[in-house]
Amino acid sequence: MNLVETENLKKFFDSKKGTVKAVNDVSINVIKGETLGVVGESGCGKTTLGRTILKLIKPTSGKIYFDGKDITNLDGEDMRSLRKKMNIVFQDPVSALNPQMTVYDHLNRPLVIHNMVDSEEEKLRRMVDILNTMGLKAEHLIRYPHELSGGQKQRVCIARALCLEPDFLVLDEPTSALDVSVQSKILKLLDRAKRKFKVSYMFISHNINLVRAISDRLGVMYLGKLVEIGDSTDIFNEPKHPYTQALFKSVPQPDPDEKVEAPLTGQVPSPVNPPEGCAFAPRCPRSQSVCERDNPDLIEAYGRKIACHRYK
Amino acid sequence: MSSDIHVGDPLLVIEDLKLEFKTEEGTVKALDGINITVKKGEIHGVIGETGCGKSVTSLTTLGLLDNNARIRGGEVLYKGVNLLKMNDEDLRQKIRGNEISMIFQNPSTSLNPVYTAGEQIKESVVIYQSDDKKEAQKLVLDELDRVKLPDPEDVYDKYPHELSGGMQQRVMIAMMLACNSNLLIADEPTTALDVSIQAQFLKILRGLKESRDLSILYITHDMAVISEICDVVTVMYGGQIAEKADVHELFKNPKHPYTIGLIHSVPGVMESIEEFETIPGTVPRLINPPSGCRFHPRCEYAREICKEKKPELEEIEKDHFVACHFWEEVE
Ligand SMILES: Nc1ncnc2c1ncn2[C@@H]1O[C@H](COP(=O)(O)OP(=O)(O)OP(=O)(O)O)[C@@H](O)[C@H]1O
Ligand SMILES: Nc1ncnc2c1ncn2[C@@H]1O[C@H](COP(=O)(O)OP(=O)(O)OP(=O)(O)O)[C@@H](O)[C@H]1O
Ligand code: SF4
Ligand SMILES: [Mg+2]
Ligand SMILES: [Mg+2]
Repeated sequence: MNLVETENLKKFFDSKKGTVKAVNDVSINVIKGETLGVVGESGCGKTTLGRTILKLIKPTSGKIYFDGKDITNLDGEDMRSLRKKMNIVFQDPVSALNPQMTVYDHLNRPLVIHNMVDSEEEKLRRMVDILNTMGLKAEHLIRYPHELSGGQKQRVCIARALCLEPDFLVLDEPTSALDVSVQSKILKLLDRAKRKFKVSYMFISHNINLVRAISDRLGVMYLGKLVEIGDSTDIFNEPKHPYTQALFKSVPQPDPDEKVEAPLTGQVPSPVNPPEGCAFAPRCPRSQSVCERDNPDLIEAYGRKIACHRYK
Repeated sequence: MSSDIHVGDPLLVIEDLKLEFKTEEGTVKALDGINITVKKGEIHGVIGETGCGKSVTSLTTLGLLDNNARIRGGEVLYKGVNLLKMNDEDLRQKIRGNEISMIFQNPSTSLNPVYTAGEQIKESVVIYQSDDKKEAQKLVLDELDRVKLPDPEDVYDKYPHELSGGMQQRVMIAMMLACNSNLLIADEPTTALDVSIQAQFLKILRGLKESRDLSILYITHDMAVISEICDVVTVMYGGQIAEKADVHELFKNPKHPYTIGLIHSVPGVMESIEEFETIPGTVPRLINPPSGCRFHPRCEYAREICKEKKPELEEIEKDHFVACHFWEEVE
């Protein structure tokens, strides 16, 4: 059962040199209750995809469904009531919090705007419950952002996103600025919160091993397009798309005798003038003449979906 | 400033640096006797968890500390000259950019939002490489290309908010590489990059080290990245040095419990996130740091003496230094 689904979603930006095809014809789905990991080269459109799905920016074309309902053109009051069902957490907790507001203020605003509570008592109970879920205490309510560590700030951001009991959260590199021990704590809390609050995640990250551990399914993007999607374990055990293979090979190991050979070379293509055929062809070790000519469709193969001429 | 420094000679010598910050809540003892030597042509890694003093060490070097900072002792010698005694004017004219350039931790706050990426890099190029307009423009495009940004001409005209996180970070990097300095301080330069771009970037740095004998002080909290790029590593904890060694020695024969904890915390292949094990406890607050060994509250080897006495940094083998009372028992 899909909670979120997009159909041929496109998000283009205008720039001096032409149109930036940041999200270029992406049909992706998030199943109810799952964590969908999203990985891909920097600038390939992950953040833009997340923001477009949440309608924080307007899609250029294509459709977005939420819980079976077409929300592409939803606005006004309808969109406002949908807002509390989906939310986003960004990488940088520092700029996401207002230095003049306490933790209480940060949680209070969304609860009041969306009429989530009937009494001050209920409100406090809910705030404390959410803070506890994120490993914080009631005493943190009166703190200002500068009185919190980086990890605590990010927990507040997540608590704020969770306090409206959303069905869907986009987590855009939620822990990449934090220490591993803090990452570990926050990711475990997020994983438990997922079950407790029955929320589904789209988890964007550059840390391949963390994505692997936390995701049920995995989507791999390259230059505005989805190139491989399927069961996370399957893809990690046997990546099929040449880009996915190259990406996994770039993960550094904590061993000075094993260096990453930077397998991806060649000119990085531009989202302004994406190549005619497969966007990965100019850098692909397995490209053939058809790859430069035709853009491969995303097709079913090996129990997943792949966009590559090698798999027919 | 003497210029006949050869590969392997000390370029930057930080000696017994002590630094405090005055705050309303009390004095933050941020650095408590830091020694770091970066040799010419060497990549020196500094690793440690948040708040251990990595950034302030580099900011001290460049004279960029906040007003509430007090240097309580030590020297920072660059080519033999004590930078702590140099006035701001000289630091700006002779050191920053020219001799030492720095990639700051947070790209979105260190890029100027009202200038395009190209204009910002051009500033460095004009100062340090060529003031010919046409040529400068071309050099900027070369720098953008070097850091693997797609379509340099398009990025040139873009404002920071029109670039993805990883693209901003690469613009920062290009800006610093354009300075052609002798020492590069890179403070967490790859947190916003995906692993394949990161791998390419690390390769670029290694290339510059080979071709130009560039020295790099590389700050990170990622042990895997340290093992990829560094020659020598300093492990910091709570404003002190826990361990220091050649990278091979450090990974093969780590002797400080904290170093071992860091190596084991690198996320490997896991079935579920519940398997993600790291060092228990949290980093100390430096207003009232733990007595004795600052790591003792989190250390599985800690005994009474660890609370009472600060362990000295001891050379246990040639060029391998450890500050732990029980390093001989650690495995
Ligand atoms: N407001 C904007 N105006 C113009 N171009 C934009 C804008 N926002 C994003 N882009 C472009 O869209 C493309 C995708 O950017 P996006 O931020 O989605 O990438 P990303 O996959 O999240 O990358 P990263 O991993 O570095 O965060 C980039 O080429 C970027 O320059
Ligand atoms: N202006 C300041 N006033 C008070 N304390 C400060 C100031 N700047 C830094 N500190 C403190 O100095 C210590 C070292 O900070 P520093 O920024 O060097 O840490 P870091 O190792 O770079 O951490 P991170 O990995 O989070 O970047 C911290 O305890 C920090 O809170
Ligand atoms: S000195 Fe003691 S507390 Fe510190 S690391 Fe060694 S054993 Fe642990
Ligand atoms: Mg992004
Ligand atoms: Mg820092």
